[in-house]
Amino acid sequence: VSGLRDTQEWFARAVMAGERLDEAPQRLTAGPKLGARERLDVYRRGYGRASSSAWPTTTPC
Amino acid sequence: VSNRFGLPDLGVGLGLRTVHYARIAEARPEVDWFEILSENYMQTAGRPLEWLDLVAARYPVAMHGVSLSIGSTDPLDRAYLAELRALRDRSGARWVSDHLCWTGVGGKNTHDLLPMPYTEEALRHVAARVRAVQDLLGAPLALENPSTYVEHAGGTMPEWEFLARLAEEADCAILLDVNNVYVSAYNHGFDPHTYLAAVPFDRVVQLHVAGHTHHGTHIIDSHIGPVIEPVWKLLAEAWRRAGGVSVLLEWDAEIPSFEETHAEALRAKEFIGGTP
Repeated sequence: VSGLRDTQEWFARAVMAGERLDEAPQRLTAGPKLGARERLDVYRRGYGRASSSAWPTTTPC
Repeated sequence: VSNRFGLPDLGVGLGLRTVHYARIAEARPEVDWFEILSENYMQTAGRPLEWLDLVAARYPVAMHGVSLSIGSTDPLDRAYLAELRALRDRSGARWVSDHLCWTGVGGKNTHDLLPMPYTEEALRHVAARVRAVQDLLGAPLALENPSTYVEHAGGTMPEWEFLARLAEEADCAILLDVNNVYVSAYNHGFDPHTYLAAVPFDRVVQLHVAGHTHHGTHIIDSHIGPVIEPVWKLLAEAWRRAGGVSVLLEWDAEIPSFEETHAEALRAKEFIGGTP
C-alpha cells in the first residue's frame, strides 16, 4: 500500500503541520467553486478546531 | 426485512446525546430506537454506562463509531476492536457501524474523518481490513459514506463505485447517509441521484439524515439545525430503493430540547412509508 501510505502521510502532515502545502494542486482536484488548496484548508480549519475541543465534536459525519 | 443481512427495520430513531439523558430517563418517550456513539461508552465507567444500560433496556440500539479508521495504513487497533465487541455485547446493539475513511497515520490522530483516494490499491486494502474487523466482531460491519471536501487526484473511480465494490468484496453492510451524499455532491459537483442509483440497496441497513451548514462555496456536514427539503427527498428515494430501512436523525451541535429534536426526526415519516 505504498501509494496509499504516501497519500495519507502527505495529507496528515499538510493538515496537522501545514507542511508541503504547495503539493496540493498536484495531489488534490479542484472543486466546482474552490481550488485544491482552498479545499484542503477546510480540513486544516477543522483540525484547528479539533485540537482545541473534545473529539468527536468536529466534522460530524 | 429487506436487506441481505436479515437486520430489522427499526423505524425512525434518534442519535442519543448526553444533553437528553435526563429527559429520556424522566419522560420515557416513545422512540423507535436510538443510535449511540460507540466511543462515548468506551474507556469509561460509571455514569455513561449506567445511562446506556438504562436506554438499552428500554429501546433498540445500534452503535456508530468514529475511530475505527478502516482506511488507514496503520495496523488495526485490536484493543479498540475488543472493546467495541464488548460494548456491542453489553448494549445488545443490533449492528455496529463506522465510516469509510481514515482518521490518522503514523500513530497520529487528526480527529477528523478523512477522505480515501478511490483507487484499486485502496479498495483491496480496505476490503481486507473490513473482513478482519468482521471476523473479530463476529458480525457484519456497516460502513457509512463520508461527507468530503476534497478528492484525491489519483482516484480512478467515483465514491459510489468504490463503496459498492467494497461492500461486495468485503461482504459488508452499508449505512447510507443521504445528507453526506447531498453535501459531497455539492462540494464535488456530481448528481446525488447518480450516487443513489449505484448503491447496492440490499446491503443498506440504515439511513442517516442531518442538517448541514452552507457556506456558499462549499457545504459543511455540521449536523446543526433542521434537515432541508432536498435531503428529505433523497431520504424518500433511498428508503424506497431499499424497500424500507431504519432511519436516524443526527443532531450534534446547538442541540435543542429532546422534544424538538425528536419532532424533527419524526418528519421522516412524511417522506417514507406506504408501499416501498
